[in-house]
Amino acid sequence: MIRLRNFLLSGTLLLNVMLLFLWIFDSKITGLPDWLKVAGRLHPMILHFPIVMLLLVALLEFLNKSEERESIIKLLLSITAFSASVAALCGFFLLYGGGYESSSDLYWHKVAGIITALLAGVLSSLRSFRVFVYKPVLLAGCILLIITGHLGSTITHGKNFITEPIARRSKKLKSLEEAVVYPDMIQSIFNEKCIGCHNPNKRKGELLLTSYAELVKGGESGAVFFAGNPDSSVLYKLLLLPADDERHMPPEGKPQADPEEIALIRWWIHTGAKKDQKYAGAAVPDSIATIVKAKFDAGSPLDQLKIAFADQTTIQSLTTTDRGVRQLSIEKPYINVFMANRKSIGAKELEELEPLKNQITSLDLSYSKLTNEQFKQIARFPHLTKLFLENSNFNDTVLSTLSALQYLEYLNVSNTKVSDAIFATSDKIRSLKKLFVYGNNITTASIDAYRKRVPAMVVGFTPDLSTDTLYRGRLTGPVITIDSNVFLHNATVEMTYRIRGVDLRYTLDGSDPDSASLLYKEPFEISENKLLKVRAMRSGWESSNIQAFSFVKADHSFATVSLDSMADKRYQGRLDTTLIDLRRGSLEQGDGNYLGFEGNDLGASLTLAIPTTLSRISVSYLVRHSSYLMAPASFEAWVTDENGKIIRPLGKLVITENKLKENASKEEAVLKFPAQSMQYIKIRVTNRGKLPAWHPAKGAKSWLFVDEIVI
Amino acid sequence: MEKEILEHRLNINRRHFLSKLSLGIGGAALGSLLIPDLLGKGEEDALPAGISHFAPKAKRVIYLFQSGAPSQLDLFDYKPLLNKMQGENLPDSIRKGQRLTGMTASQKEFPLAGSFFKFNQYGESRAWVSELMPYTSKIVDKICFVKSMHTEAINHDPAVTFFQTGSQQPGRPSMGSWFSYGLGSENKNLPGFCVFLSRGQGNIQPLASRLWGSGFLDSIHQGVQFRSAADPVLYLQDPEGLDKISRRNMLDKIAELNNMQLQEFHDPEIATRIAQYEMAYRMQTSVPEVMDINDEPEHVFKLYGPDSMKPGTFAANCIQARRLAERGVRFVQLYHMGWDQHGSLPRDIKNLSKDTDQPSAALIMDLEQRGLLEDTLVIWGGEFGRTNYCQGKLTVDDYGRDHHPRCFTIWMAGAGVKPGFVYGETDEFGYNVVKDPVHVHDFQATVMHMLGINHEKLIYKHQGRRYRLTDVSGKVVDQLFT
Repeated sequence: MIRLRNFLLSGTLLLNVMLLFLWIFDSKITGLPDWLKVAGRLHPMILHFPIVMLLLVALLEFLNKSEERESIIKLLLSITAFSASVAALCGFFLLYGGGYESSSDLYWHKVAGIITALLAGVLSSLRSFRVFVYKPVLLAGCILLIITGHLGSTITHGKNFITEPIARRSKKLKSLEEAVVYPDMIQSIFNEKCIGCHNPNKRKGELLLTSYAELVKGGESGAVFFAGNPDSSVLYKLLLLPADDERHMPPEGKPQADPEEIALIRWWIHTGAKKDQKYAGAAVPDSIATIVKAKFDAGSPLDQLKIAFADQTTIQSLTTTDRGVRQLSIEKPYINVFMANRKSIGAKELEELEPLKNQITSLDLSYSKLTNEQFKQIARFPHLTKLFLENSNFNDTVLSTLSALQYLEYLNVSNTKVSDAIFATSDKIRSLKKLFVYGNNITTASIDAYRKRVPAMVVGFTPDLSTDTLYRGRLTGPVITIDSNVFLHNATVEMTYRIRGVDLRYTLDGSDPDSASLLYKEPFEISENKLLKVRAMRSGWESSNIQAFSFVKADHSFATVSLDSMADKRYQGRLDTTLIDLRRGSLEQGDGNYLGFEGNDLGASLTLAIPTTLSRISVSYLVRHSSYLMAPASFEAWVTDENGKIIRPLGKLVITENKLKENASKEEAVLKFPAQSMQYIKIRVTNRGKLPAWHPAKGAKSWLFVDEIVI
Repeated sequence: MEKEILEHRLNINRRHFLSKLSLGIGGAALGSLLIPDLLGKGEEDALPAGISHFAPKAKRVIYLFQSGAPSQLDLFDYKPLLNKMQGENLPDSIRKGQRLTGMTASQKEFPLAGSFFKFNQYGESRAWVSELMPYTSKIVDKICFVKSMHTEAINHDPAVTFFQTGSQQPGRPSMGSWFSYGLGSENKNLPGFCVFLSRGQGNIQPLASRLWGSGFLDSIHQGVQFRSAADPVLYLQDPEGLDKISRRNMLDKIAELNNMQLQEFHDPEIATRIAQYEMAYRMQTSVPEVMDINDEPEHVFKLYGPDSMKPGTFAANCIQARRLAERGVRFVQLYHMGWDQHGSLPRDIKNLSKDTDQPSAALIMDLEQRGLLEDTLVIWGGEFGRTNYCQGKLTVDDYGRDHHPRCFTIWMAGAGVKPGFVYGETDEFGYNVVKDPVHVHDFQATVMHMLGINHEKLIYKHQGRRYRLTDVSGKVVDQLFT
């Protein structure tokens, strides 16, 4: 043990002398043999030994008072001394092996390192012979050690290496409008990611990235960028190499440039790598704008106030059914207050929000019944950026309150009582970007003048559609309800239109209704065969298309009916009685007034209560070619006896169709014959069977939809 | 004595053990601070009700769902090659053996069918729009087309279900329900999620009410269907002879009873029921007021077109959607049915386009002039696209198109959506997406992002599994935002 110590201490002496010698004559050193350069590169490893050893000695010396420590401390001191000398020497070799440019950090690291090594060398003897100076010197050595270590790390990793993770990642810019691309963005990336090595101390690759002038000078392989051509610029290309490539920048283990920063550098070179280009005037694609915004934008003027977050319990306690209070996101403290469409709210509801006045940035009082005196409470909220007052009683008397809102960007006073004076107010709110005066009593001329005067303002106002031919519509027809247009006594007609102010004009004589025709006021009755024609009218609109309805007074009604075969199970209406219930179907086959037959015919036997003299019988049906609903091929009727045995035919009507109809229609086939008495009748309505050749789905089964047999 | 010594030692050991253990646990706890997800998510997901994950661009959504799937090839996705190759067979190199529906899978030929409708470029964005959409073509600079939508489903019900709930199988909450759950309702007098249906003249595919159901979420989040009839919301009005005061008294008593049950069973559905009764009571006055459009000025009806004066039409529903949006309703969903044009497409698509073109464009313009568009997201689109080949026989004056999930077009406008922008591209045949595909889950993630919600964090745990609207995928399409 003692031999080892002696050996180490003698070695230390040798090395320290060598160290002093080299220090004194360091200006004479011009080059080093390669094997010493290798030794130099061991400096970063060896330097950790003396650090640990010296601190360990201090720890034992000051905290442990036991007897056992003596021999250990002595041994440790000798190792400390030896390793400190070796580390310092290696540092020397590293320095003169090249790659470092002189700087103050480097100089002081060298001085402090040498002194530390020398102090460590004498500590062992001081402990034995000069006990009273030993402890202060040990303490000084420790302090010096820390200083040396820190300076060393600054040289290797760059300034602020330690605090970097907690320091703000990028310097945010107060205003993007005034930012200059190179110094504010590109240089700041270099400062963060590159100048740890490319600084005057280290000059890696002989390239300095500390200023535009240095950048232009380039490095050992020449220019690092070519303006307008990022893909041949080393500055950009090396960033793109895979991380394990030797030439990839920044080197492995160093903070890497993120994809957004690489994109920014590319864009800067691409747009000419100018020194003084302003961001506001540059050609900025969306992708770059997004990056710049996220990286450098310090946010709105309001963001820069750094308003504190409100307490969630306060927010909760102020939330009521009539007042929604909501922090908009977890990122920012801003609060939206929603009191729209509340009849009951008053000034109190606004006053109570006092604790949140700094956080409330959006206030919605639209559709409220607040008086203008109560609206003055808005002044409580100095940080409003959005204010919704539309559809309220808000008027000019409160405008002066608004001009105090110096962060307001959005103001909605649509459908309120404000006048042209709003424009003077908006001039006073310098932050205002959007103003909505839709539906107010403001002349088009003053809106136009304002828009001309402040072209950047987004103004919302009532559009003038009168000159646009696209907006000359034809009214739709009214909804017409008819209890039955085949009736024994009378039918009732009711017309409705959802919107007031639309005139419903009608005729019953077959002529087309015009503005002089009968005006519909209330439901009316029809008691004879009539043709009703209706149209809706409103000034400024084209009148609706004429809707026509025929009313048929049935002379008699059937007592019973029985079908030969059932209708399709989906369309059975009110079963057999569908045919004789005096109810006509609409244009909708599924309305329950139809019997539907797919491919089959309709055959039925009908009975009158007493023998009756008749001269006509008709069948009405629905045609909708698009849904395969065709007119029947024929309609036949016979007089039978009470057992259904045919006595004589009444006639046969053949119906032809030869063209596709776009729209659905109601049709009727009427069979006329000489007047004769009868009580039992049999009819057959023949289905066309298959869709004809002119139908797009020709060959498919056709449908027959019948609603009523009338006599 | 020996026993005491032994016990003493045992105590010491136990004490040692415990103190060492506490150190160990402390260390583990410190370590776990660095890995927050290690020991369960904890409270991380439990945001205070209604707070977004980040600053929202949109406050609310109006979703104009075109049920039945409109043909992108006849409306927005202009493919002149199809007209050039009219009637020629779809090349196998394009179809790549992909599955077809049962309706055309057995077809021997797949004749390409170019659109019969003329296309033109409009606005500063030079977006292509067909002559079927004259009003939409006037607002192309306000909207953003996504031409590269694609979905997994190939038939209507699974496809609509997929769009609305993120799953083809029924049972999950609808999009609107997720938003109601995540963000709450602003106006406590109206439901946070309202639904309107309208029918066009054409092939109508049924829609089930589960499409706006709340699934496993609390039923307070389910969509409330508004009808065009005199009673817009069913079972809302008091029966004849019951006055307001009696109703109030009745509700108070019921709430008292329900509260007793709630105390005993702690079933959240009971709390929901109490809240629903109260909401319904308030809706008795708020609904008739919002539904009565007689206070709308003349130019509004002009803007939305004559149909807007007829209750139950898409146009009238668009006005209603705006009225609800103005009053703070978070999610308004319209469905217009009838786009399923397997045959007679040239005829039927005219009707459906006429129904929806003017009102949709009007809604955008109306919201804009009133200052609402900047925080309202409007979406227009169907559940999938239609094929570039003809279903059935291609004739000189007619064609039909089958379902096509591989590509289709939707458009969005408003809140934070890049206006006058076309995203994504399909191949020359309009069959496959060739650039920037947007999956339905991507679309959902994007819409959620616009409302300030991280789609990976709005989670509901049900029957032992965590559910999201975007299921296990979805990528926010940043390029769609300003």
